Amino acid sequence: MWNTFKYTTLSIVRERSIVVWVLLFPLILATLFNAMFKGIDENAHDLDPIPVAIVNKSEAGADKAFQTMMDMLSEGDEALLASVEAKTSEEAQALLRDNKTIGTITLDENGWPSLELSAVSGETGVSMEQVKRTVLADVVDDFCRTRTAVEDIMENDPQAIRDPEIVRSFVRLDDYTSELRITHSQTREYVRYFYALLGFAALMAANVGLTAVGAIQPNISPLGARRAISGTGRARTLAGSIAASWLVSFLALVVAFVYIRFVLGVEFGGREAACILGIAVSALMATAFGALVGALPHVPASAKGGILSGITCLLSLFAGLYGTPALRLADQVARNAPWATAVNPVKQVSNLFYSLYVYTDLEPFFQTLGVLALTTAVFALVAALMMRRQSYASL
Amino acid sequence: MAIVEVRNLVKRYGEVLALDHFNLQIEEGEIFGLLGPNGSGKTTSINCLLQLLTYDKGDILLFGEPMRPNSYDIKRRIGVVPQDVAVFDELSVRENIDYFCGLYVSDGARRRALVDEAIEFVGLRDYTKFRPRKLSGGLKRRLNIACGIVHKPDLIFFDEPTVAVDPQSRNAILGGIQRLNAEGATVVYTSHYMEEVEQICSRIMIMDRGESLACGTKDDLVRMVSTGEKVEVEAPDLPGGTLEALGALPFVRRISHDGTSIHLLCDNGPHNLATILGVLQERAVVFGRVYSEPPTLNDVFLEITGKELRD
Repeated sequence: MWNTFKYTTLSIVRERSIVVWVLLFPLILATLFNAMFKGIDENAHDLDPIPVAIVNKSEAGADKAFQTMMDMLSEGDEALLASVEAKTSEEAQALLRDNKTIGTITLDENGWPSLELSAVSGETGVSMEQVKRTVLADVVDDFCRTRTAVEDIMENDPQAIRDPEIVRSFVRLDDYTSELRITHSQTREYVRYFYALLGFAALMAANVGLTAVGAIQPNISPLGARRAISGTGRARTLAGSIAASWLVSFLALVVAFVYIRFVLGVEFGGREAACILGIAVSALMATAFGALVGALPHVPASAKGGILSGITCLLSLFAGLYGTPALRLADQVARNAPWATAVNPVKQVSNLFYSLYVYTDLEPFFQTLGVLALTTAVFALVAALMMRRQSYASL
Repeated sequence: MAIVEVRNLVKRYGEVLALDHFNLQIEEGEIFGLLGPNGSGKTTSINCLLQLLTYDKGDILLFGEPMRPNSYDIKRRIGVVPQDVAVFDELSVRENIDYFCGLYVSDGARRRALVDEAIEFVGLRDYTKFRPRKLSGGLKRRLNIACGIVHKPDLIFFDEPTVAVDPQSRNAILGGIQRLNAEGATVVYTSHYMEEVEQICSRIMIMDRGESLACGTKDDLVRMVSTGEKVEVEAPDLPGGTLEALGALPFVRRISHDGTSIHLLCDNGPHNLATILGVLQERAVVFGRVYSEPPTLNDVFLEITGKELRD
């Protein structure tokens, strides 16, 4: 078995197509992804000043507090708001309709603001528009709450307003507002492309298993026939070949992971050790899948590589590999047909890394690992059924 | 002792009968030639013997033991040189030979010695680090042979090992097979090349359509067929009655003269040519070059299997 393991490993790592498709191609794709998606995602977190129309109907001096706040929020490089002056409500309405503003703030005669927001579009998920609406509503709410509190204190306990600590407490939110993170890491959508890429790379690594199994099947290659009639048992030859395939697949995936994590700087939630465990199981799944395709009877050896590539590309679509539309499609499939996700090994490998990145506990990771292990067992069983025979009706 | 014994082997591919109650017996120490046209069942019979193919009926005994797919003790005594070059393209010559040796021999030191010996045997000493794709057709065939014989098997199957090789490589291969046989290996050799089989095989079987049509030494086979010895004597001028005198000889079947030479077709006999020349000398016939062509294995093969073209 060691003899088979050693020389199968050597022959696989020297196979040019394996080096290109299993090792180099994922690295090239990762580099392209890094150029395409990472910049987009970083820009997505920049918030431009929110355009808002101000219709001022207040009496002289009543808008002083509001104007002070607006000046503070509209100044500097990190201005939150960009006020657009509107003389009438109609003019403000027109700006809102034309999407030139997100909302309209109307000050009544006492300087109290009321807010009208732009209509909500039909899109799903959280858009930047929605974030801006929320921010604008918070600004107005906060102003009204603070002004009410100050006016209340001035009416009931005017001396208290001279205490700077009390004044500071009006504008300090941290006593009753705390940041609560519901995910393990700060979520960035672009990481999902890299996780889908690792899923794709795992299935591309199935080419290793396919090649190794092709070289031991008597009905597939003359080399397989020669090995089958040798003095070494079929089970030992198979075990040596499968072990070699797993090792090469595992190492190729580790290289891709190390490149994505440490060269491109993609986050995996700081759980690199668990990632390696996930890669080990993914490589096993890939080997079993390659063995399954490699053992298909009545299919020319040259066609099997094409079949494997076709399946890999198709399943990668439903794992969200090909950009935002594919990612949305993958999410829709996951919501509406969870079984389709469960039977998609590319998506399962992708989910392994996603669950490590997003969830605080490791249960989802181990659940996905279990699904992958089950998938591996099914692939291996079917492959074994096809490879169990030692004599053939024809070659 | 019979090393190979096949009794009433029947193998069908669907409706096609590939082996029809095929029988074979090969004795220890023989170089046994298996001749037959394409599709005659040569490779099928070998694959059944090696348990690569299932068969419908019959018994196969190797070394006196029934052969089964998991008869690894028997398989360890067998070497196979397949028709196609079946090696790892990505391994070097030495690595390939070492891999196949490792399928039979686990002891490292013994394996190294056997690999060196096999490399020397097939003359690949200067190519040990080459990968197969860098080798010529002849060198690839020699590598194919080295992988099949490296573990020093008692029984070796050579399935058309000289296809598409140059005459020098062919000679080296045939010489190597004879040396292996001299060292004690029993050889089963299939080929299309009659002269190769004539040159090295001690016994020959001609098979067609899954049946054994004839089996024996070359002389046995020649005796089985009606094709006779052809004699040609260059003699432009013939005195009257010469052709009649030659035609009257008891072993002459047919005689003709084309103006320059006499052509005779004779029954097989040890002294045909001497008798013919004696008649010509008696009649003072001036003759030039003389050709005598005894029946060849090719004649035997064509007479037994027919001359029509095969698919």
